Amino acid sequence: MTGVTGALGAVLQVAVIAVGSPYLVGAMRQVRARLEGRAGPDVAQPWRDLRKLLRKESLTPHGTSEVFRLTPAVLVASTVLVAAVAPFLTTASPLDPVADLFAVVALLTLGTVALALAGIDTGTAFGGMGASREMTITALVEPTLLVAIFALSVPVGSTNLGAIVNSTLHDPARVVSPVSLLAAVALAVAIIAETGRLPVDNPSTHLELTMVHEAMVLEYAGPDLALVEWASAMRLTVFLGLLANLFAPWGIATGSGLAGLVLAVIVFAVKVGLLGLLLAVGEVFLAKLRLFRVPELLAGSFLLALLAVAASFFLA
Amino acid sequence: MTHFGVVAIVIGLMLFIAHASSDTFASLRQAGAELSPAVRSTIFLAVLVGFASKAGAVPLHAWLPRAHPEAPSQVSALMSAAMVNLGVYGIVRVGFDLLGGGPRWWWLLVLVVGAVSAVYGILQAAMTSDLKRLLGYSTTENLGLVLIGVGAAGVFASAGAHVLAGLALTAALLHVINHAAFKTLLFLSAGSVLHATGLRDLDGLGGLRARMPVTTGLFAVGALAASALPLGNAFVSEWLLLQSLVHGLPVSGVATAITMPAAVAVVALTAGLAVATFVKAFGIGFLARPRSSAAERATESPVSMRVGMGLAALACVALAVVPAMVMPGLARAAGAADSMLGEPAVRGAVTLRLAGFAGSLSPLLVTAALLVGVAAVVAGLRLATVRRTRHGRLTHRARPTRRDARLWDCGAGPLTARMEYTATSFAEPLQRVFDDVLEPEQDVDVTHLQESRYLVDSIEYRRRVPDRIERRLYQPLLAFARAWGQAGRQLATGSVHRYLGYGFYAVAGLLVVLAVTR
Repeated sequence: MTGVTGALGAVLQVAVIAVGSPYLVGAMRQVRARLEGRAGPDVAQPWRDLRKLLRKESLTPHGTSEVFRLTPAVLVASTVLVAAVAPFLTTASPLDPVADLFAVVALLTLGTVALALAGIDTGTAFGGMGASREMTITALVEPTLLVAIFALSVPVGSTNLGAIVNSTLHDPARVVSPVSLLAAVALAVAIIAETGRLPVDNPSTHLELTMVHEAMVLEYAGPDLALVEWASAMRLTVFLGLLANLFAPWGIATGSGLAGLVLAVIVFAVKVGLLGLLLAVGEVFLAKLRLFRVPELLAGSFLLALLAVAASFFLA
Repeated sequence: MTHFGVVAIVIGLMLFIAHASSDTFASLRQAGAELSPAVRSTIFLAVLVGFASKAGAVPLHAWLPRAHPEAPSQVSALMSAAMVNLGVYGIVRVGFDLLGGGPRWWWLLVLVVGAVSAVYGILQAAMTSDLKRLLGYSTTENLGLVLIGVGAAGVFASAGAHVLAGLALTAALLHVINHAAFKTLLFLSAGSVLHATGLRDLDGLGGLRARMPVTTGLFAVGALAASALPLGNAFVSEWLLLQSLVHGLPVSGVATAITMPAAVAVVALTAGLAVATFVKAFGIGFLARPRSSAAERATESPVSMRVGMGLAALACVALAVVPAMVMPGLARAAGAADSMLGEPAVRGAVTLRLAGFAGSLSPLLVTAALLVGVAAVVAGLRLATVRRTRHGRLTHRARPTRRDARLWDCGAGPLTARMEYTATSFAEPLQRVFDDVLEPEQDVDVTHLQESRYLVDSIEYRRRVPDRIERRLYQPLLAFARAWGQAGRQLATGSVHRYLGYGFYAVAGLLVVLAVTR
């Protein structure tokens, strides 16, 4: 019975993230607009945009290759895979042993790499610029992510996501320990950098010199662009969901029972929505950092992650 | 360099054999157990220096990125994939097997050497724009990762955590195999590119995907493996390495508590920089548009070269999908190195599970799921287009080919290949970030017009990222040796009288010494 609901939970996770992520982006834009004194587009606007883009004709920018054409699919597939294996709604997913936290991070990096290659493949100055910057940021985020994972997994004795979530559920006091708090801040900074939000990258910029993510996807149009946009919305949701469930997993379904799953969906939506809200509010008050100041920010978050590991050893 | 390494190994082993009854492994093993700590440490250090230079570890790496690129590519492949591994073999054989483990500081030393090699190697690889030099530095990086694993295994073994030591050693040995597979493939592909274009400089390459599709595809397989991402084989071994480091924290001692997080950070930084490096190598080298006429005229290599690369790629894919097939062999090797090891460290065919720790990964399922996912998304897009035709909004068949569109050029006319990002410009942000470590040299020459110095005729800009260790350590050493050689030459003027004088004074001096001491 647990197996069946576990599998159901895994399917439901993918569905909730796939359907819900454009709404999350819409809600975040709405919050920003309201705070800036604008009416802003409707929450469902990203979905309408996606539908519109999907109906358009597929274009091949001159001189691009299969790498450029397959990248949106790789991006979507890697994100959906993460959405399926990580514990967002249930810890009883039969897919849990397939991939641990390291593998999840590596899968998300794979999507970034595909996008960077597509940017280079166009042969334009913008594509190369975006790819170069994105790779620099990725290379520097990686240590923070992995050391923060290290800090989280030390008290649990495993890097498997299900194990970490379960152990936090059984020992709620751990969440307010220095290890958890330091790791949470470090991970939050790393996630902001990975998802290309302010102050590392401005998702709504089209000013050529400041673009990072937008510069890589500049040549995408029509259905391909729809996939890229959808995937980046899903990546944002996945990252926020990971942050939420690693540090506040309550509400997640642990056993069998459909009621638990339904509750988990609601709680997950609330948690991710809250984090999105926080991020959107923060973005209103933050300006984008100069590109070469970003390493300092990341070094700071790396230091926090290292402190978290030290705390996990010396305070244990 | 090589001679120095050999001398160090020979000194170490001679010292060892002098204390043993014969030079067989069995008698050495027996003697190793009875040696005094000081002698054991001397032997280990001498052997470590020698074998580390063989493995291309920093600071004894200087020969590697010079020698490997100059050899013909298949020989480079042999050197980078097979030869350097002997260095690791030597360290494991002498340190674990013959000397039977040792104090913790030996292995901490190995770990630190590995960590420095990994980061330094990949940083230099990220900066260079010479494809084969990049691969050479990447060898230093990967052997550094292996040495981290070996060092961690030694640290765990000396603390009595033998299960963990087995895991770390298995990870290190698996990485040796994986590195051999993908480095062979990468060097052979680089050879194929060299054959077709005569170029090793990434700044002149590009656009090879249309002209050399097979080489491009196979290089992509190798680059994916080398950047340690899922679907590549090195991902599995780096995952095992990280697992062994993560579980190593509870092993007693403040030294481990400081080393393990630092080692994880080093592995992570190395992985991140490796991703950037191989995106550069593949993206700039093979995608986009040709940056030189040689790259424009490239044609696919002959079948024999393609078959060679194909075999290496097959090995990569097999290792990536079913790493379990080499696990029994690795377990035996690890068991031979450390007799205290019990059962194999990794179990399971489809899903790898760690023995004794909670941790699992299924490379096969991840690969399958990703491929199915990509196929499903592509098919889904197709389907969406077909459905549209049924609704009758498009009367003719849903576009068999996608329409060609112009690239965004800011409305300033067609883009030329000169406007593309090159390997140097791609690495520029990273170079700025690691400015203090790399110390790049910049040279700007401005030539003014004769009429006025306010009018500029031409600007020449040169930038080089020299190997800092080579410059700071080896050049002074070489200068020192040279100075002594020069001084020595003054003794030998060619005059026979002088030589006879030397002989006379030497004999007389010896006699005086003997007369005084006896």
